[in-house]
Amino acid sequence: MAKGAAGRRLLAPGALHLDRRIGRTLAVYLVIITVIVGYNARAIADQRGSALSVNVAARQRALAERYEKDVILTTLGIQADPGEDAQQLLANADALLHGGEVLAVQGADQEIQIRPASHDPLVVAKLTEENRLIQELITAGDDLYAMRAGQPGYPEQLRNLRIVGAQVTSISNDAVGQMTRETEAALARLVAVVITLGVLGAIAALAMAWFLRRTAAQRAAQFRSLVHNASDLITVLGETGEIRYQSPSAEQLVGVRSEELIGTSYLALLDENDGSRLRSILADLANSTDPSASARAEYRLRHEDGSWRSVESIVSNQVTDPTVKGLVLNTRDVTDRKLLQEELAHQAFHDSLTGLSNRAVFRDRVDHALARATRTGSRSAVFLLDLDGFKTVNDSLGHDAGDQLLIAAAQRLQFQGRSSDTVARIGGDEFGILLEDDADETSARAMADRLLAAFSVPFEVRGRELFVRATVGIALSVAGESNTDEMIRNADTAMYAAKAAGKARYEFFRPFMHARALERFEVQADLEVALIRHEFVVHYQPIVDFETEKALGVEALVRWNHPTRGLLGPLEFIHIAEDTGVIVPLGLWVLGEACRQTVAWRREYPEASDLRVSVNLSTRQLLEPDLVPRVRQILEASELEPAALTLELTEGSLMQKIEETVTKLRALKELGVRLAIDDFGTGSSSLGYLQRFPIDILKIDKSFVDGIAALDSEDPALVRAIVEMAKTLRLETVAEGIEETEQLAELRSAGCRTGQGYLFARPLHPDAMGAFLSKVAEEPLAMTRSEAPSP
Amino acid sequence: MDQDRRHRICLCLAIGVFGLLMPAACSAPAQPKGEVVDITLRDFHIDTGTPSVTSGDVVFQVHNDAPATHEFVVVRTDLPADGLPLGPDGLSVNEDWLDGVGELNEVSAGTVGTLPLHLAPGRYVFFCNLDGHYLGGMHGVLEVSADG
Repeated sequence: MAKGAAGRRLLAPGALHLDRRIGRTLAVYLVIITVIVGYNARAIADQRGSALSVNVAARQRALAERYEKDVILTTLGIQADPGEDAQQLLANADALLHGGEVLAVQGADQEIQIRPASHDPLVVAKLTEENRLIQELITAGDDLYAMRAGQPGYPEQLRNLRIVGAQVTSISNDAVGQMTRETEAALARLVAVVITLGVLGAIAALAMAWFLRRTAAQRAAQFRSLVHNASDLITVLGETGEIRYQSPSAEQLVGVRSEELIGTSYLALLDENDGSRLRSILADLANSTDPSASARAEYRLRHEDGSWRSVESIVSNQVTDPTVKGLVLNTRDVTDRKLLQEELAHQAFHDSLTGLSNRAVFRDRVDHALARATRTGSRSAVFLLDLDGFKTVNDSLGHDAGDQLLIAAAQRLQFQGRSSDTVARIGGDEFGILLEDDADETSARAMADRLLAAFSVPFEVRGRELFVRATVGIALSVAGESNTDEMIRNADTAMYAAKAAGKARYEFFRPFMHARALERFEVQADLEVALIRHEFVVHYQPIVDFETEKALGVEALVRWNHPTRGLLGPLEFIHIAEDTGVIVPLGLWVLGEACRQTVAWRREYPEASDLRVSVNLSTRQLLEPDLVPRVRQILEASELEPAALTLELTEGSLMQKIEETVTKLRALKELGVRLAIDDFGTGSSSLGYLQRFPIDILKIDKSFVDGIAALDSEDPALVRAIVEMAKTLRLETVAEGIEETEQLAELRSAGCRTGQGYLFARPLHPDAMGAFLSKVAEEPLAMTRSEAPSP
Repeated sequence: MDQDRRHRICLCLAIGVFGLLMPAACSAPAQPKGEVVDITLRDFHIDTGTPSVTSGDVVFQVHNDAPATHEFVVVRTDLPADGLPLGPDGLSVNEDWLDGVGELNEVSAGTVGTLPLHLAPGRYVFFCNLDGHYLGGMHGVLEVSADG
């Protein structure tokens, strides 16, 4: 209870102030009362003067009676002195009316000064009448005084004297009574005034006290309400750090009711470090001579549930304030702000998707590792890891699936390194791993093996199993010679080399890779302008009917007539054209050129009037939204009948965005164009798509044809199975890469009817192709190796 | 709620103060019925403006214009007004020997006393019986005639 009362006292600092105001008001009122009582005391003293006058007035009756008696005694011959009485009666009457000296006591010599008996008109009228009657009495007395009893007229004169005497007595009594009443009434008025003033003053004082008390109570209630409802924590500590007051918001912050905290040590809510720091701050403040001194402190408070809250306190010393008498802590919960700061700091250095370090941190770590390596002579290794086929996942399953894959890949990578190794997401599907201290080719190779092994297990994304492999490039530092940019660039170069070598593998950086990378860079730069400079040419390889031994059609194959490097085959630039997007305009150009050329041949050689042309369509082209209208435009421009055009697609390109691809292929079919699957049998796709896609032709990959004539090969059976399946699905088959007559014989035997290869002709320049067509027209192919000039 | 209570408290205080400051309002007495006889008292004689009235209800309106306080005594008598019997001191009328009808014991100076009487036909004398006042000349006669 005592604690509660102390708390309330602390919460109403204005109450004491108001108590003082009430005290001051009452003191002022007492002064006023004293003045009023003093004033009335004077009035009472005045009334005492009035009482003296009353006494003198009362004496007049006795004087008049004595005068009357003395006159009568004198007439009876007895010695008396009515003259003195008469003189005193007249003097007294005048003094009562106008003020003057009278005998203090009847019969004595001492005289006193009296003021006019009253200013009241009625009293003055009575005294005036009394004065008149006294004069009349003295006249009557004088008249009788000259006579002696028994003389004629004596009885009448005596009667007159007695009548006037009785009248004087009557008026004298009357005047005295009136004066007495007036004095009593004046006193009563004074008393009434004093009582009224006292009562009114008391009421006013009580009303003021009540009002001030109520105002103080309201202010205290307001203050209490503010404190109780404030989210900030207000704490009053005693000299020894014990909690003397705690606002209710403590329950929210530390999970303990404020009442339970009273008397406990505040520092017990802090951890050891914060506690000793705050103790020092509190001690400094308590010893400070500056009464306005305050300090700020940041620390953590332990919640009852074991969690920690970050807070910020402003501490002020109010020990000298009699309403507080303690150190006051105004504490604010800054946990959210702290978390936000930490989150922002984390975001600045971490990849938001995977939570790994970002490129900036990775570079920084490599910087430090290289600096340390320079000092200690140790080596570091930088790994750059790229997911193979990530783009396919992103394009076919959507970006969300791609993100999930990245997160899963990041988790796997994190498990492969030591805690001292840095794993970072460099960007896109590229990760960086830094092996610090004592890295050599052996340890780096072990690490690379672990990394690749981590990708041997399929990922589960959106309920589907995805086989995604990784390609790794590794750069080892050379003590004192490597810098960060160089290390990362070398790892990148090694990674591209690994990709070029077939992906799902790792390569260490070797200096020669630089030259290759440079070459690749040059190709990329030259490709941009090659199309404009008309450096591309289309060569054609005939597709021959095994029965008629005539060329049914040709396959258009692009070549780059490089100004410095000579004629380049597609292997040297097509993948770069794919990566840079040049493949799209290049593919369209090849298509247009092939159609135009085919129409020209059809017109020039009557035997080739139904010549067909096959053109490769890249993955990138297939994904272009305006592919179908473009093909239509080209067909219309070249006037080639659509059925004469075959577009060749790889199995891989068909697996991108399958729904969209099916729609596009159907649209192409509606144009009349025929569709072929190139390099059939090399892709990883199932046979199910053969029914799903509107395919006309299967082109049997050269790898099957190569082994078809071998004695112990399974390829003949495979080729037969492919041809049988194609027949079932009503698809044509075209064998690729036929180089030997045995192969041709096997293919014929397997039921394959068309094919292409060096056995018939290499890819030919358009002019050579024209010659080839002309020659075949004259004499059919002898089914021997072509003697046509090679490109 | 608090404001109503405050108003009520203020009203009570105001009424209390008013009650303390103001004397209780006197309700005016009902004016008695009857023929009015105006009497004016002076030192020492009585003026009367109505020498006679008819019998029945009579109201004496006694104005004291004198400085002194006086009495007003009414007796029914056939004696002369200045011939009423005196008491042993010889200074006032011996009322025991007279047929008193009514009186006002004290009419203060400057005030008006009212004396309602039911008077039968006859002769009435009125006077101030303070010592020396009757003998000083404060008396008068009222003749009351029969009704009609």
